[in-house]
Amino acid sequence: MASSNSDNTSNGAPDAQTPQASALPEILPNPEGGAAGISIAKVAGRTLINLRCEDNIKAKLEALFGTPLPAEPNKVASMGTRRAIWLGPDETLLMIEEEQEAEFMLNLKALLGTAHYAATPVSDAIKIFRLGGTRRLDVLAKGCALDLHPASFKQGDCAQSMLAHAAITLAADTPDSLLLFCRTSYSDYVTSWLKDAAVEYGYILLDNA
Amino acid sequence: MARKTNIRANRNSHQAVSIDSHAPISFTFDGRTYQGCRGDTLASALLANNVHLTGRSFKYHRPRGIMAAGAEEPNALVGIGVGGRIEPNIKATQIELYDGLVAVSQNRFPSLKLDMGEINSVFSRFFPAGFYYKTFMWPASFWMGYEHIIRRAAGLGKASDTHQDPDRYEKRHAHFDIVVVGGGLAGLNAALQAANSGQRVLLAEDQHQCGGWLRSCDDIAIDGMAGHEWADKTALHLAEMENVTLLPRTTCFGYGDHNFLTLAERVTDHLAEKPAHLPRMRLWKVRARQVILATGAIERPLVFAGNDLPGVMLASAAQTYLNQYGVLAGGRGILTTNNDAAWHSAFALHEAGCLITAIVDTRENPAPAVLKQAAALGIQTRLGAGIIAAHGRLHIARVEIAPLTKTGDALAGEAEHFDCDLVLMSGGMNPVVHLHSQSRGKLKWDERTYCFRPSTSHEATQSVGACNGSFEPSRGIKEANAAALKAVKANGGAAEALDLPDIIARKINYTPMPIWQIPSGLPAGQGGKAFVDFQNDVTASDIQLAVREGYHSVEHVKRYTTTGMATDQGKTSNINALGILARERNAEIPAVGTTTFRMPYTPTSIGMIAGRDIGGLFDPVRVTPMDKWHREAGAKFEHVGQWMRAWYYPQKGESMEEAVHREVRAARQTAGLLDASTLGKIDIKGPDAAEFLNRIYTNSWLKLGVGNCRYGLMCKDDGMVMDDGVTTRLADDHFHMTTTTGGAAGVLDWLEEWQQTEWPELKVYLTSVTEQWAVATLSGPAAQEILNAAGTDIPLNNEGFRFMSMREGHVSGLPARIYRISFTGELSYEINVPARYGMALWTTLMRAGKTFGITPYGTEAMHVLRGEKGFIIVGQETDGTVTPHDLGMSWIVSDKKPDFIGKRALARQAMQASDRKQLVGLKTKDPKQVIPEGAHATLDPDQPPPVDMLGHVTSSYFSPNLGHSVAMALLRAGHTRMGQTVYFPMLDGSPPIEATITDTRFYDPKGERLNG
Repeated sequence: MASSNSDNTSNGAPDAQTPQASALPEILPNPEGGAAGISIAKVAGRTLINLRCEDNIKAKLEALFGTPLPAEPNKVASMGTRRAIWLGPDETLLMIEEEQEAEFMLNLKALLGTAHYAATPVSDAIKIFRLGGTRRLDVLAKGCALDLHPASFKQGDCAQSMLAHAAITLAADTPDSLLLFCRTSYSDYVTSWLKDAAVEYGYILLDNA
Repeated sequence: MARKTNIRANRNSHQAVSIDSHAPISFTFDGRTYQGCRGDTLASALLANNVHLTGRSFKYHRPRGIMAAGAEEPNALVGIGVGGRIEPNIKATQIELYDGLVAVSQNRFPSLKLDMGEINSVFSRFFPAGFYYKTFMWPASFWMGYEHIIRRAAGLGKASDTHQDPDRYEKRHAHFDIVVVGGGLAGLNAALQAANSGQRVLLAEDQHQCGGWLRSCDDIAIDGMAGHEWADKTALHLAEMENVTLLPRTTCFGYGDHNFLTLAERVTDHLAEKPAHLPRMRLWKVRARQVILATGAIERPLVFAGNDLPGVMLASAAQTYLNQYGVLAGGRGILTTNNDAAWHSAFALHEAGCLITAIVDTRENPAPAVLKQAAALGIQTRLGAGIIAAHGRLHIARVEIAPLTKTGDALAGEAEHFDCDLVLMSGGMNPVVHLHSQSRGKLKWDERTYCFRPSTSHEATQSVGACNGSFEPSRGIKEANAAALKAVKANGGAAEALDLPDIIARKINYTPMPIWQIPSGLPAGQGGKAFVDFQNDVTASDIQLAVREGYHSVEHVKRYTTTGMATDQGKTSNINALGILARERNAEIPAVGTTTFRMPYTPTSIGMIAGRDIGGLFDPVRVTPMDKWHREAGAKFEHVGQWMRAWYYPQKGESMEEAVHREVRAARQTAGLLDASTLGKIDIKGPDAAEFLNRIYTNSWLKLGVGNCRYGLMCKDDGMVMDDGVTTRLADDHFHMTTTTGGAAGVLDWLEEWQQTEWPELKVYLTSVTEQWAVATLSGPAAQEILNAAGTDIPLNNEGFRFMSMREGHVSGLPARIYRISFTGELSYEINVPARYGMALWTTLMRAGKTFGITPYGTEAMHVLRGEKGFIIVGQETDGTVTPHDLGMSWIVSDKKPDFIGKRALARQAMQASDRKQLVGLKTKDPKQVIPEGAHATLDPDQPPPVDMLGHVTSSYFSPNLGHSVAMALLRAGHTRMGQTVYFPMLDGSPPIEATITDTRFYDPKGERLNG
């Protein structure tokens, strides 16, 4: 009877093991010595809200959010741990502390009333990574066609692109780290891909950053 | 007369600027071990060991040796590596030697020196141009057989078919302000000047050291240094600059639109021990704002009988082997040339110990300087003469030299015989215009140097130095410098003009005599073969024959004779071929035209192009929040788009059929649980949301009450079904749409497009929430009891929570939206929780349902369950040619709405034709028989072909709940054929399956089970 199962497997069923579940370890020391070339940290404890509205509504949110939401394409507005990431002329991704979510949403509703907008919680749909390390740009360059050189992708810039076969949003967040956003279902692939891309530089996975 | 005993003694090591003669390494060729030096190419090391015969030619299996010293080598193609690293058809001139290298010759049987295929050479009269076209044309039905013969004869080396390639290959993107291709004199100067601006500069050099011709010549001094010393110093300086990336061992093989260049970096090929963390090769995908091409030039061979014998070599190549690798390619040499420059190669070899017995020049009046130097060295000359034939079996042994007429078309006297073991040949220079041409730059014929050089560019690119036809070093560096300044300025930068290096070089006239074939004195086709294209074995008489047979266009001649179509893309052959074609047509070369060069410049490893998109990283696999549970339960999975969905859950010893039947029965008898998280979900918000949906879907949406759900079908503007799903009104201005799993992204794009481009006046915002929600579908008579047992604050009684409505609340404390909708026909709840709670929800329901017999079911059972109900699946019952009416779903197409997408198309005559294919049910005569999906229906199983087909089966299952098979099919005028008998002929020859056409609702046609 066991053989009938294996017959079925050969009949097109993929292995039970997720194919991309890479055999690579959590930490790979830099083969050429020194610190790991890239650190890959999951960012937890953040709420993401996909905000769709016109500029006049955005302006109303300045006081609530703490800083003006970006009006210029591909820019990030920061206020403490808060980030507002420009995604489109009428689309912004808001990142706030998780414990502030309920209050923030209530205040937002009260502030905007019947205005035309959509503020959709997407925390569960999107995973956030913080990428550090001196070779982080070399690793990303293996899968992302954008020019991420600091002269071209400056701190406070963001962009939507592909990392190999996964859609991502990148933000040059601090002088030595980037934020990477991807859909939750792609996060295993993205992690495996980053690890594999970093084999020549070494990597370290971190739980939270 | 290369080294006989050991390396040191027989190399002119004081001159060998590219090797470390103190670092001997060993390698094998055809099983024999030889010694070489670090820095050698395989070609230079073979020559150092007096190995000249390196392979057999493609068509005639003629003995071939090393003719060139770089990427243009057409003959010395070898296989290298062992096991999974075997790589065929690599130019020996491009392999950097490492300790333990294993190389083998190709295209020979049983051995290189005694080759059976050489018989092709004896019978060569029967292998003229277009041989394959002529021979294998007729009869057409034999083509399949011919193909096998041709395929076996084609190709040279063999790749490994038993081993996987063990190496890593990387790809990366890069962006530079200025890219300089080629690190010779011009390229180094361009890079220096460009880097001085602070802009981001890439310098790519094909070899492991910069310098190009500076490494091969011994008569250029720069800033008081020998050329190669200046090159090393300059390269070192550039490599240390922060804004410069210098890539040695990197070939730019492609140049496309928008200054996009592809480069192949050979990272570990030259290493005996290959570090595991490094890729073997790295593909650079470069965007450049400005490009400077400094790719140099290639020497042309001369076309004369026997010019392919081992020992016949480009003059510049022999000089390269001498000066870079300290190898003398022979002991007794003859130069045949049509230009002054090659004389200096002969002088260099003569001075190093290779006796040049004669210099044969097709011109009557070479420069006085070279005549004087030849006289001083005691080298006799034959002016206005050419080598009309070369002889030897496995190596050049003797040449015939004869005076030529002034135009070089015919002999003007008797031939003399000269013994030799080396012939240097030079027919002038070909600028390497390949990249310029790849980027759609135009070429023009240069009457000064008789070559094609770049004219107008299509991209932001400039060619400098020898690749621009500027062979004089001083001219090349001036061009390079000016080009760099121009590029910097075009990028909006500024750079101080650097002082040009102080250069001392011999003054040489680079104008050759235009002579494309040395006459043999015999009628065409007689005498020895005079090769034009060495790699593809195309001779001068092949081109003459092609013209006689009416092929005049260069594109036709090229394809008919295959000249220029080998993997070297005719680097050494194109101009000679054009020249001969022009002569035969009595036309000028520019009028005959040239062909366009295409990528890759040199053959490129497929492994590098695949990069790391292999194995588990070939394509992303998307998994649901409950994925781990399915895996631990031993589920089998199927791919749905990039998603991996649980297909069925076999218990110990169960077959797929048994497992699916068990799951299907449970869903109707007790309860089943399906992971439906992959369903597409779109949040639709705005005052015009209802109106928006009203235009998107075929049915009406304006009056849907808050909290209620409705099934919708959407069409493309051609009236064909595009997607379907249930959409729920969360508030007056707020809807939650679901789509098919595979259609989710496409539907969102579709909605955005219509909102943004056609209906911008509608105030609606769309947000994908597919992954925000995990969905568990609980279905079956016990569903309500299980949900209650799991604990919910939502009243589940039929009155309070009607079919096709949604309630918000909690399930076992988890925030949830429960949609009472059904794809099984049973009482069913689609429970949505934020994705982070998906696993908790699933395990809670499984625990709560245990005593009720809850059974997880996969996508296969889902298909059977909906098949029993006759519910369609978009993409299975539809294929982009099916309207809602064809599906028997006219009830969902509103005729009251002013418009919806597809309305106009559906009103067209053809959409209402009675003979359209329409969806029907099928019941087999033998209830146990399951018709294969895709089977075609016919009314008469006995009619001879061509059989009149009615249509095909779209879904087909055995229904354990009904005890018979159920199927759906799209049949011509199917809706009018209820009760008719149709037959399904089987591919395997078994008797046709007989079935009756029925309604598609097989199970519970009245839908009474929806309320449990």
